[in-house]
Amino acid sequence: MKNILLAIIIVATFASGCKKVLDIQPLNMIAETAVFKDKKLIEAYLLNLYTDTRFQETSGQANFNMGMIAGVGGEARPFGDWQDPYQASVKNYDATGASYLDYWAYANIRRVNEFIEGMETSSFDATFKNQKIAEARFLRAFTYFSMVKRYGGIPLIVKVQKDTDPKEELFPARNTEMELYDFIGKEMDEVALVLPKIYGAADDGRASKYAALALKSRAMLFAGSIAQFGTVQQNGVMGIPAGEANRYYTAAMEASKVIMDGGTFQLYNKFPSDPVKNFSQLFIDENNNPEVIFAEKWDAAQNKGHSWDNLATPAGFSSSWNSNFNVLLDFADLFDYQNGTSGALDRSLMNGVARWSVDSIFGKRDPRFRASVYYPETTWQGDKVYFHSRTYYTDPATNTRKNSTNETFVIPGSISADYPTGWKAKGPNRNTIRTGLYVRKRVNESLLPAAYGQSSTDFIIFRYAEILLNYAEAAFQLNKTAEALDAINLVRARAKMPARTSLTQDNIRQERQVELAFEEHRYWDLRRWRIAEQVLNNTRFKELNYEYDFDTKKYILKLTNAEGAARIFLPRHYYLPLGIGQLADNPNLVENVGY
Amino acid sequence: MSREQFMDKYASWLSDMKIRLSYGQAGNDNTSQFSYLTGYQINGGGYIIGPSINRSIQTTGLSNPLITWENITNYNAGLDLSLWNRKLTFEGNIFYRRREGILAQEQRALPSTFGATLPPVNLNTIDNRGFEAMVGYHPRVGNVKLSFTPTITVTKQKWVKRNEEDYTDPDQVRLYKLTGKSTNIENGYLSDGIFMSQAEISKLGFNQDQVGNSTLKPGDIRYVDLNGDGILDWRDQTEIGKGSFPEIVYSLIMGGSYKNFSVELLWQGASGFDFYVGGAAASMFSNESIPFDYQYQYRWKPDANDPTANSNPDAKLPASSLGLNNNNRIKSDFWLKDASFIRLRNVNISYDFNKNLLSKAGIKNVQVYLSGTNIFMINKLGIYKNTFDPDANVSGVGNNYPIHRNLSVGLRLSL
Repeated sequence: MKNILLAIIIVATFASGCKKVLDIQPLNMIAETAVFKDKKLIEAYLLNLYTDTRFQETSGQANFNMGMIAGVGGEARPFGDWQDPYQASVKNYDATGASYLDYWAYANIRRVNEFIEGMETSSFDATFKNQKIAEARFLRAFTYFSMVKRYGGIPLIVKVQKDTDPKEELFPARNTEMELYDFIGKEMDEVALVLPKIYGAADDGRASKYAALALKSRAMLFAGSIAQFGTVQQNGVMGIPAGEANRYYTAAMEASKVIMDGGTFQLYNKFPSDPVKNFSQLFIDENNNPEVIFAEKWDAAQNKGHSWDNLATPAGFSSSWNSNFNVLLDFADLFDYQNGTSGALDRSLMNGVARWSVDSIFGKRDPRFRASVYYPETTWQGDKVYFHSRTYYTDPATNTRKNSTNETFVIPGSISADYPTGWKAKGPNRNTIRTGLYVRKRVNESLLPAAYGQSSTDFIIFRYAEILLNYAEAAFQLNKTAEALDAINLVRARAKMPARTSLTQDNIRQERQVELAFEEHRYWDLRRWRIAEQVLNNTRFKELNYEYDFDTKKYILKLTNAEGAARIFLPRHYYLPLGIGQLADNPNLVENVGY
Repeated sequence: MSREQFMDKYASWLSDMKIRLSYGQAGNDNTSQFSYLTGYQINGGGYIIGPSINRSIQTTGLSNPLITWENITNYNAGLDLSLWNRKLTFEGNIFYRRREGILAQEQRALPSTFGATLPPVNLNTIDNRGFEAMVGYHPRVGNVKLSFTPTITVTKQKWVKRNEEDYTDPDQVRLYKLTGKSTNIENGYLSDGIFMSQAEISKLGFNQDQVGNSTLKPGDIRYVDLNGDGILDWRDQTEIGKGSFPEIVYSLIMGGSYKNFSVELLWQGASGFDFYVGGAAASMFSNESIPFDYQYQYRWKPDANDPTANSNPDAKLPASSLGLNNNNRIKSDFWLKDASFIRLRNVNISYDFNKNLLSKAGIKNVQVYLSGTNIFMINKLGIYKNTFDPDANVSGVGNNYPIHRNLSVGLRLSL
């Protein structure tokens, strides 16, 4: 044994002297020099940049963070208090950092910069190079937009830094908020000249000219309202001078107008006679959907699925998790009735005495409500969604009034054409615990079972209705009311809501919140309008609990707090904190005011 | 050493003596491969363009061609003694271990806006120092044979050198700079009981919730504004205790025998570490959990007629709340408890029957015994002491599987 060991040592000693044998290259690594000489590798690198870009929140355990922006925006809360979106909505963000909402994506920015510089050195034809570089610039601008809307001005880095660069570049101070928005606007103007208007089926999903203009439209609208409603602080690191508002609003209108005049997109309207179905299908239909300007694609069959349906589906259907996105009553109030009257429910009547038919509270609302929210007796997958926790009824055997909270108890004599299996005294328990309204938007009724990671529905990042609303809002702020009315009424006509004949700022804001509900807009909109301290501060949003009176076929409503603690949105929260970690990391950064 | 000639004069009582000194150096190459190379790797997922998913590649980040393994140096000094014909034995060991060149990412050279994944560099140093001692005492009184064997191990681990930000803010230096500090410490806020009434909140002299105490309710934890600046923020944190690594571990084996009876007890314990009460153990009803008994017993309990007044004279814990209460979930010494414990791990009592009688029956040995494991424990967890076992669970919620208590009675028969 000893001799064998000795032999091994001797052989190893000699072998180590011979470089070729031990100097192996890892087999799973692609050499740095190979990438920009090969179109396939270039493509693979670019797709990594797409993957990096946080188009929508999907992170967190089991995709729970898909409810993050709706949570902090006061649209819907998650089922469990322990889920990050709930924690994020009741948190008082302080000097320690932006926590759940943190997005400091300079690693992504560096990879985009590396790609762009690598492409510039490659020897492929200019058309190919410019196209790929333009896609990368779109992604970089999207990422900067995601950061500037959180923090205000941040260091704008558009080249690959080397550790030998001058110190003031390596330890950059913050650019102004205006410089960031101007960068996004200018970049999108330039790449819009390069990117094609539309891709063939093989390239569907790439950033197009219109995606770039849609980003510009949104970003310029943000900049316009920050200039109009915000205050300039710290030499423009936070805030945009008020005099710039019109320039940005005009830019938002112009970018939107190019898309509107381009003829490529229109509002989805394949089911004009059924506005609820139409508005539901808008988010599901991926077959030449004319409204989709840019989407992140998903396909569970190719192992890229998400869990939206698994989380959102009400209890009583095929999802094992279910009931996760609970719509807050205060947000539901924003959806008017279809005749144009206000949908805000009178809180004083939710006293446990008054009785309401489901039609009178929800059934005659804006079709967009019915397509976006599950409410009691919403028809779903051939059955109905039930939220009631108790049923009062008259027992036909004894002719006495009784009540029951038994989930399996069928009210005697309740089997009918409407309720083929009868009326159960209580809905599935999980439906009775939280707000009594769930997010339905983007849930695919034909997905069975709604299992974990099995959703293939694409995330629409930019859609035509948003462009119309961007246009309307910018036009309204520029006193171009006629243009604003035209655009907003197109959106309302598709929803089968009565046309507006005049406009107020509240009309504009309400339309946006209703049309774009649960699509990661409201939180950012409330911030840029600088009304988040009124809407999201020192308030506990409400929820409904339902009991059913079988004799009158009406509901008894009770109003309770949907959230355990009051939300906190202080003036300082219009800009999230960079946090003490970032400040220690780079002493040239200044913290936002108030932290 | 006891065999040396000059030690002969002590031979009457010194049976054995040995001094040990050792020094050793070893490498630890438990690091990722190919950190000295840079290139691209294929990602796990992909991105869908057109009808199908496509693979993507990503740079592995910057490389460190100078990467090497970390270095561990051990110094040991020991003394073995055996006295009065092994009636008393002692074994002691002092050790110092130094791990140098622990891989870490350079923190100071470049800020996060640089964007690259910095390569691992051999930067950090940790040392461990401590001692172990074991005493054996085996007296004999007439027919009674006794034995006591206590052992103790004490270890401290410290960051000798840690690559970290050049903190300039004195509070950041105090809280976040780890060089020179033990690796086994916890930072957090200091607590000062709970608010028993709204009046106590109203007269609080500082802004605890950063919104003028408007979110505080009776039954919430009161904290200490350590720097007295009128607001509770991260600067009021301090070192509140130790981490979950026991710095002192001890045991004692006690044995005794008289004629055919013998008894053996094994005590084990640990000290110098803390237990953090978290999750549902701290937040009543969190995630629809059923409250623990101590929560029911010791919570601040609203009076039926006046929900802002407390009705529980034993109130020590926060009130129950709908949803998680952010004020009470701040990391503080309210929830950090000394986890020291001692436990009677093993008991064995046995009786051997007379062999002479047995051999006539063709039986070699018969023993009756009573034995038990994990008989009881003494710990310092106060109101949590019956719920949590710091031996089994040093951090968290306390919903892990408990350590078994085992009692057995038996008859052992050898033919």
